[in-house]
Amino acid sequence: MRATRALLVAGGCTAIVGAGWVASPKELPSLDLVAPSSPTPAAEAEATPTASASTAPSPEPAATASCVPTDDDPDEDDVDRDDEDDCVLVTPSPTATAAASPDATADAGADAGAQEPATATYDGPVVSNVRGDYQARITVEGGVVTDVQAVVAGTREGDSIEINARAIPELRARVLDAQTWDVAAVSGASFTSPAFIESLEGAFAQAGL
Amino acid sequence: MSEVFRTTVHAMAMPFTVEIDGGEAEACEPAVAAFHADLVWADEVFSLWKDDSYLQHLLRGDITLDEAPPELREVLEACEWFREQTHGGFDARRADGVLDPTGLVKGWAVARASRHLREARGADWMVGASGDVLVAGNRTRRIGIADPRVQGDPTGTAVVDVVALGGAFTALATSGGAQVVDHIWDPVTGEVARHYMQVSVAGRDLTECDAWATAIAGGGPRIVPRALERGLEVLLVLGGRSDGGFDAQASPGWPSLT
Repeated sequence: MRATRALLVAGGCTAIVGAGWVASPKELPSLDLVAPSSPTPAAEAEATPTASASTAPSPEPAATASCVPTDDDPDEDDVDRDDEDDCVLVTPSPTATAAASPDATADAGADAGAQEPATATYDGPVVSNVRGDYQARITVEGGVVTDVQAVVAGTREGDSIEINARAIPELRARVLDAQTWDVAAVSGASFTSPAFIESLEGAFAQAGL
Repeated sequence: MSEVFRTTVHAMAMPFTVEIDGGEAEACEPAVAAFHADLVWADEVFSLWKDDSYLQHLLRGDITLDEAPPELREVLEACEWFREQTHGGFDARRADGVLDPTGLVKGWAVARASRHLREARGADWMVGASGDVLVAGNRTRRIGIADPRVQGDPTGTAVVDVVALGGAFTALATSGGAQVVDHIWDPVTGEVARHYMQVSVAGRDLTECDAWATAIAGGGPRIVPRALERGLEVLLVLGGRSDGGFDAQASPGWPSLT
């Protein structure tokens, strides 16, 4: 019995440490980047085309090296930060992610699409509710959403830690549209046989109801 | 694929469509008849809509469980087993005290009756059991997930997703939708369950898929991780969108072909 109790205590400790790890703000760096860039949407809109124009001629669109020359733009200081964000996105890697504001990344993604198959990721705003902060990230490929991830999801509230730890990585958001496909059968909720309904109607008719 | 023997039988006020690949009518018809007889028999044992079913007799106290066919005990025990498995998501005990195994009976009855199809030599077959689908054999079949707005038989209607059935997944069950309004209750609150618009579960055992689809529809998001732990895959339709589409969630292994 003593061994069992020790095992229980050890398990409890593991659970607590695990819960702490789950609750720890692993994705916070991306939050820091989102917050400061949002108050200056005008500057980003101006700066983005310039940055993309200077990166476009770069012969090797590999990694972030192509970002360095963009500093020759005589822009304000805060634009340099945006340039860096944009450059990360211009890299052709399909998994490129950048935690910039949605506006800025959207522009850069469109520009990158001119030379590479357009795959870009966009981070939504951080939305808070009673369960904590949530931030979604979508991957767009050729104008079609191919992936939806939760980059920030959670809270320290004991109950929802478990919910989030289990549910968030396990489900993918999807948007479904009814379309006509060639299928062998259709799965839906149970339905009453049309023949039965017909028969029922006949019975009602016979009963004069 | 040469010929497909295709027929529909009716039991429990529901249609059951049977397709047997390459089956000859002489071999298939007796198998389907036996399949049909099993379903009719299950209805006579388990129906809550027939006053003379064994289940009704049991609920009224006319007979004891020992006097009923052993399958009645088997199903009621399966209900309890699934109640534990689904952490209360599937619960056949209604708020008014009536034991209602209806959520399990169809899947169970089809799984049981399909033994006759296995004996019919046709290695590849499919049963469309009024919204639930069970397949066997080597061939992969394209199965649609019904638009939850569709009323009645969804065969031939536009579908919201297409999955591959056969191979890793042989059973598919869907709960919710527009068919029977508010017939699933949340075992915790006792209220009508409106967690999801429609729940589809893919797996290997139709009884299991059926039970979990009902459990998730009734118990909501907290049940979903338990289903995934069991190796099942789910597609959850959350609600309609203004453009006519649907917001949904799928588990990573959901065998979608779209």
